[in-house]
This record gives sequence, structure tokens and C-alpha cells, in this order.
Amino acid sequence: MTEYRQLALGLNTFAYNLNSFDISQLGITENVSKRSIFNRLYYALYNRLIDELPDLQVSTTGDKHQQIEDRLRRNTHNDVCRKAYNLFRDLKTLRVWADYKPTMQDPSSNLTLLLQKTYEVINYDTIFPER
Amino acid sequence: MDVKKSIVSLALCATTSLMSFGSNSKEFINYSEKSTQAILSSAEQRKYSQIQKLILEMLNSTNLFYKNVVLISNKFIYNWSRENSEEVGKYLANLVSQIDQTKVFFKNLYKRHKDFSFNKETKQNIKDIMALLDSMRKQIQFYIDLTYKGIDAKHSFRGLKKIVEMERIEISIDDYWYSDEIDNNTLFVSTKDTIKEPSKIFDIEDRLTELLKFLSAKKKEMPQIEFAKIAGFDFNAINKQHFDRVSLV
Repeated sequence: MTEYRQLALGLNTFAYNLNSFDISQLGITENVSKRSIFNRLYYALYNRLIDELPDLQVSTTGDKHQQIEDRLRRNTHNDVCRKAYNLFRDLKTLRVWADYKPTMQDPSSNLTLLLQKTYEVINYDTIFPER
Repeated sequence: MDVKKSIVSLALCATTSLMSFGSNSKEFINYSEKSTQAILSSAEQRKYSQIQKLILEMLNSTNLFYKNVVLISNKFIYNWSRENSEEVGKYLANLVSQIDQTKVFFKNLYKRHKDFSFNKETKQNIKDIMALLDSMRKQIQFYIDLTYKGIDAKHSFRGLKKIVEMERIEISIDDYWYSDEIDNNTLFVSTKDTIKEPSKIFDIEDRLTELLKFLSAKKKEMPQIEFAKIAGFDFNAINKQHFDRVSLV
């Protein structure tokens, strides 16, 4: 397994464990825990996707996040890619809330469902169709 | 005449509430009306130094209102547009209407600067007022767009919830959320239910998206009802379409 996939699984596991943990022992609020979960899930998927994009792994130019999204969008005719594209955009939106919007209302969410969705996508054998 | 102090004190005491945004906006609207009337009346009486004083005061008050009320509201507008969309919509529409009128007033006043022998500083002050009004107008337009999005989200979720209950789809939906970016077209819908097979979550999302599209098509077919409008804005609008996908979170 590549380092990118290992990192993706590790971040997803971290998010899963944080969601299962009694957060009062960590001295953080539910809101902070939720923000951390969104953030880690986004990066779990980011690393899983970049695993299949070796040119982006070494690229030093441009916004890699946007480039990943663009490549997914170009392949949404493929069902797996479409699911990954939608999830990537959703997690990006939630991560923006998590990291930059402290006054904006909390997104109502079932974190277990979101963890399941991310776990499903990062465990696909292949996401991008062969070129 | 000078309401600068009251604008400052109101803005400082509670800029986090919709109520304070509403009262500050009303105060600014009243101030702008009175100020422009006073400028007109001073012009008729040829009190040119008084006009210049009023213009400077208007510039300072507009600046304070922009910074202490309009810009600060950016932090809270999502919450207001989600919880009190119709109410915030009316405040915003009234404000836009006043800004547009005030802009026209100062544009015309600037054209006549030779008649009133305005000095260089006053001419610049008028230009600054117009630039501030433009910035304020742009910011408030974003708030208005977000308010329309909030209304659409509320109606779309309610419609979706009813259909989900009627069609006996295997989950119930409890709440909704949307991004504060206008062009993000995803309606986030939450459920308390558990779904054992992760792949099924995507199937349910697709089904909900189909239902959302069905609802949007129905809305388009409905006769457009003319509700009372404020400054051309109709915050009961049912014909706005912001969402084309449902995400289950």
C-alpha cells in the first residue's frame, strides 16, 4: 500500500475514533470535535485521490485541491468518479466551515454516515478511469 | 440631526443580533433622508458652508454604518438568512432602496458643484460617499442573494421532507444546511437514521436529488404570484432555484 493510501486510511481512522471517543476527556467541545472530523475526512479523501495522480504529487505549481476537483469533474460520466467528485466537494465545503467560519451555524450532520461515505470511497480499488 | 452617536452606540452594543441590525438600518435610513433634505433646504437658502458641513457629516456617518453594521453583519448573515429570511430580507430591501436614492441624490449634487462653489475637499467627500454607497450596495446584494438562497433551502427541504414521508423512502430527514457560497448548489440534508450498507447511502442521495429536481420543475410550472415587493425584491419568492443536488450528511 502506498504512503498516500496509508495516510488516507490513518486520517479516516482518526476521524472515526474521535467520533467514537468521549470528548469530555479531551477537554474539547462537540463543535471543535466536529470541525476536526470534517477537516481530517477531507484530507483523508484528498490523499486517497492524489495517490492516483502522480503528476500532482510532484507538482509545485497551482492549487492542487482545485486541480483534483477539476480532474474528478471531467470524469463524472464514470459512476465511481461522480461519487468521489460529489464527496470531495461536500467535504471541502464542510472543511471551509470547520476551519474558517466560527460564527456560522453548525451544519446538521450524521457523522457516522459521513464517515461511512468517506470510508467507502477511499477503499475503492480505482477512482479515476484508466487513461 | 446628527445621529452618528446613536449609530455608533447601537452598533457597539449588539451587532450580533438581527434586531440590532434592523434598528441600526432604520436609523441610517432616517438619517440619510433627513440629511439629504437638510442639504436641499440649505441649498435653497444658499447656506453653502452648512452644506459642506452636512456632506462631511454624511460621509462620516456612512463610513461608520458601513464598517460597524454592514461589514460586521457578514459574520452573522448566514444564521439570519436561515432562521429569519423574510425579516432580514425586508431590512435589506429597504436599505438597498435608500442607498440607491442617496446615490442618485449625491450624483446630482456633484453635477451642480459649480453652482454651490464646493471646495476641493467637499467634492472629494461627495465622491467618497458615492464610493462607499457602491461598496455597501455590493455587500448588501450578496446578503440579499444569500437570503434568497436561505428561502429556497427552507422550501426545498420542506417539500423534500413531505415527499420522503409519502413515498416511504427508507430514511427520514430531519434538518438541512447549505453553503454560504451562492454558487454552491448542494442542499445538505441530515438524518438520524443509520444505514448499514455504505453503498446504499449514495443510492439514497441520488433518489433525493431526483426528488429535488422534480420539486424544482413543479415550482417552475406554478403560476408566479405577485407578492408585495420592497425595492423590487420579493422575499416570498418561490421561483428561485439554487439547488440541484442533495447530499446526505
